[in-house]
Amino acid sequence: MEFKIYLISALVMAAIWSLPAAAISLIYGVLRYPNFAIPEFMTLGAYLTLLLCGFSLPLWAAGLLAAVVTGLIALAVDQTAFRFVRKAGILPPVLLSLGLMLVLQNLVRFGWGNGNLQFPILPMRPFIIAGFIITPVQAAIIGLVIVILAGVFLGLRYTEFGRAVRATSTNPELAIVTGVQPERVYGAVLFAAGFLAAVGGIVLATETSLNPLLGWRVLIPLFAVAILGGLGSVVGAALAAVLVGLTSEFSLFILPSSYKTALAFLVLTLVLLVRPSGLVKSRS
Amino acid sequence: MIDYLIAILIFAGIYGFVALGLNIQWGLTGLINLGQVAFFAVGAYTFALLSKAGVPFLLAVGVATALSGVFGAAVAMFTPRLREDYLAIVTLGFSEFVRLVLLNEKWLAGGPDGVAGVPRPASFPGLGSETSFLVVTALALAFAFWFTRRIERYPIGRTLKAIREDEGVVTSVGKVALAYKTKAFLLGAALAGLGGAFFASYLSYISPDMFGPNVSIYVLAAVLIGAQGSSVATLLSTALVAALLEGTRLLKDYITFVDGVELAALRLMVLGLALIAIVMVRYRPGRA
Repeated sequence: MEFKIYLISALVMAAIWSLPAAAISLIYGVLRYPNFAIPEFMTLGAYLTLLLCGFSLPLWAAGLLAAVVTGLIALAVDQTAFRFVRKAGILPPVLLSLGLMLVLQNLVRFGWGNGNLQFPILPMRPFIIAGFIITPVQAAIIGLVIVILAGVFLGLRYTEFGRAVRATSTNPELAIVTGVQPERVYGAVLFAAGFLAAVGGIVLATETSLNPLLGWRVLIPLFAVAILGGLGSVVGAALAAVLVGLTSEFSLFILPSSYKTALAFLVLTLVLLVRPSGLVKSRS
Repeated sequence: MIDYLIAILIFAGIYGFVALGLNIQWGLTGLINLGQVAFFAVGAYTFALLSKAGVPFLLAVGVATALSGVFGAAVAMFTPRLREDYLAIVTLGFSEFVRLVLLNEKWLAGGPDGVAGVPRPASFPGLGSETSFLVVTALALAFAFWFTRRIERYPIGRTLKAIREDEGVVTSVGKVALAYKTKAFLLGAALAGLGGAFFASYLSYISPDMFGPNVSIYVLAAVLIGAQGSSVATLLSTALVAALLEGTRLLKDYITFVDGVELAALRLMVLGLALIAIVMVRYRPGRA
């Protein structure tokens, strides 16, 4: 019985993590820096959804709108700040993302305070399928994430623009020579990253609750997932999310729950030591 | 007012140790460390627990410094080739890991309650406790300053600078760059631990929530304002950051239209914006 509960909760966590981890992975793959503000875009997306729910929008519509707005904010910040340090190496964008992290996290704190808030959803009776207990919300999260990830994967694989993104990731100079406009690619990647992170934050908040540390608390698991997945690979991020999700849930048999994050850090360090290229070699 | 000035100076001194340490790692050697607060915390807790157990002040400070250095070397050794993007992630993750351990291990460090009643060194005769502590901090900082200046000028400092500029060249003259980088990390972490010991002693109470990532960011901002330069520049810019940080606490008495949580959030937002602005100025196109 316990085993089945942990399995479902591991899969739900994996689904939630895989979107923001894919966002980190995409930025890393194309722009080559770790963006520490991605978890804050999760928080921002969740709070914007709450704000829009206040205008009596249904949750799904509020969430969609909030995710688009978050994507636009990510794009705007990239164009007004990150854009100017593109050629200055890895450090300036990392520092900018740290500054952005502080700004976003405290913007939310300023607006809504430190307390825990909830989305206006009514508790629903869970399904029981072959002994597995899963709530409708959890089922919806897993379904939604699979659809979005498939969309991103197919988009990258089969569209002209997806090819441009992959080309820029593999060899920027060559991509430019063949007519790809890198700034467009960067802009699209940032919008997509903000959007994915926001959806991740919204689904995380529906499973737990909203508070200003919503995203920050999963920063380490997200980076563990993104690195294990081989930076730059969306499929890798999804696989790694399942693996890290299973590890951290089943660690509950031997470790207290407060150490889930610490365990993710150990996974991260171990991956860097043993296989820094990740499980799936990135497409580059 | 004079009490307030003394407090600001003491904080400036405490952050000074941490910034001097970061300047060895980042300014001198070019290693990114986004988790300097981890070593600060190790120093603070080691000092607090030892001195509460009756260990004399100097010995407790010494052990706290050394242990932080050991942690620094360990982090360096567990980061493959000390590549800068890995280092950024590992150091940030490590600092959060340390905070989680401190938060969860009640037997070790009191968990969320922290450690209270950390002693200060005996006061000098004729001086108040605050002034006396300022003098002790200043003396220790002068020593740390002298020490880092020596490092900058001695062969090890030149090697570290050479690593920052071009690692290949250093390797080609037969020096093991990785060993030097590890040493730089050890020294930088030890200095942060020294600052942590003074922090615990000054406040007499420490808890895990004092060791969040914003401390690392204060120090990063200070070293960045000092243009990752000499120890003198680093100390001056640290004093500036400390004055701004502590100075804005004064605003609490004058700004009445926002509550405590909102004011704290505003201060951190300003800090974030300041960091963004500094980076934009420092790395704008056309400048190295």
